[in-house]
Amino acid sequence: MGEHEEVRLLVDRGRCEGYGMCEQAAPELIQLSDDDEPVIAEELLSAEHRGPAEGAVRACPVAALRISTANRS
Amino acid sequence: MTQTRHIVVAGASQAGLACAAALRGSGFDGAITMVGEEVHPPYTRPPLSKGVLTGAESHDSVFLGGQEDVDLLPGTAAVGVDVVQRCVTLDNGDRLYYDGLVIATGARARRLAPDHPGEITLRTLDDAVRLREALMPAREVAIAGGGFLGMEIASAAAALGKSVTVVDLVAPLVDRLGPVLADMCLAAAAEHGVKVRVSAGGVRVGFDGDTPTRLISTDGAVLAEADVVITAAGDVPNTEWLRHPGLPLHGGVIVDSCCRVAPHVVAAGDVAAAQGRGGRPRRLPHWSNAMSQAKIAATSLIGAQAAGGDPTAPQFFWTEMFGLTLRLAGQLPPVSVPTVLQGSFADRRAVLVWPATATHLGTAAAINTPLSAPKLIRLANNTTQQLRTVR
Repeated sequence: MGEHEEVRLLVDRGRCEGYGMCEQAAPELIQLSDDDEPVIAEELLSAEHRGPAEGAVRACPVAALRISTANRS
Repeated sequence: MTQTRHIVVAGASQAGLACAAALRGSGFDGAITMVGEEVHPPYTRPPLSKGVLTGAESHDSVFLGGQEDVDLLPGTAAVGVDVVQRCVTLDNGDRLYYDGLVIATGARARRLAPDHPGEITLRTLDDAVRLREALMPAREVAIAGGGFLGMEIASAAAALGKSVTVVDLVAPLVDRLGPVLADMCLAAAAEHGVKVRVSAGGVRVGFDGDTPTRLISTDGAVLAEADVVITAAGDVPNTEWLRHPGLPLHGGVIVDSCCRVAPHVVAAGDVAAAQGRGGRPRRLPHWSNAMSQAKIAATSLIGAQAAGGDPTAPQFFWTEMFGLTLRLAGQLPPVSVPTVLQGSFADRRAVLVWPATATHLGTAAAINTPLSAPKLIRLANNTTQQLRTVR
């Protein structure tokens, strides 16, 4: 868990069907647009947003959200 | 409750995992031990009767992840509990002492032929993988039970090109969806070649050896013969391990509006029976209910704040079958007469609203319309509130 690790919350727009369960799970991080598209406030996750982001991933009925961890070189 | 240092979550389920996550989210930094009867880590069940069965989704896409800070004991069942000693007994003889206990052992498939090990049901991931393999070479499929599960299996089998017959005691789906939506689903099922037979007297499964091969009415008439015969006759809560004087059982384990069962014990998901309208404790074995109860249970257990959910709050529910995606919020089945808010019912692309009545909440449904859960819940709520304003 070094400072070079970047953790992002990503939406697969092809899979997303606008259920909006992610907003219910993590309202502090995700808001739905008028068209029910999830808008993520900060894609690059701070430590405090990790938990809500995981909740949003779990809450999606069509598995359109995922958390990606990358090491910055 | 700062002395809560070890929480045991019985059930490696969606509800159990959501509860563990909510505990962490509320700042609980003690140990969490999760015991699960299945060998798998927690996974989500809704795709099992949909994409996993048709092969559109791989079976390992269902795993939930996010249990890094939970000690998971897979393949381990809780077989007893002592709420005085605060201890759970496991099937390997071990005892787990807890400061807080989450009961999330869910439910299992109800069997029509409990004495036959060959009866086919669909509840677990292993069930889904086995059924998918059994469906591959089959030509004819028969399903006992026309609820959501039975009809979703029928839809998946029809999509795989099978000849499908569904048998139930009543017209499928009416008790959950009401006549308007049920008729639409049954029309779509018929267009996909699915035959529906109603046998009011009863249905039993007939076997050749260990293999279920037919569905039979009580007077012995064969209702359907098939290569694969599946029982989809509802679920039974896993409460046998909870037989203890301090734990109230009625259908499921009875919870109050804060999901509390007894001191230091909460429950969430398919195993929990909540006091609903009408007073009788009732299980609400659905995904969105498991998720909302898990959050309430977590806050209640560590006394973070008076959690308290609204047990009459509109719930969200969805199903997919025969080219229809239905999303529903509020009272199920809907009562009274619906209004079309948007789209066209004849085109099977519409948003419908059933107004609340003096005795029932309102309902909102989106048919093949990607309306989000929060919007649908708001619609269902609005009809309810309008009525409250008028009265």
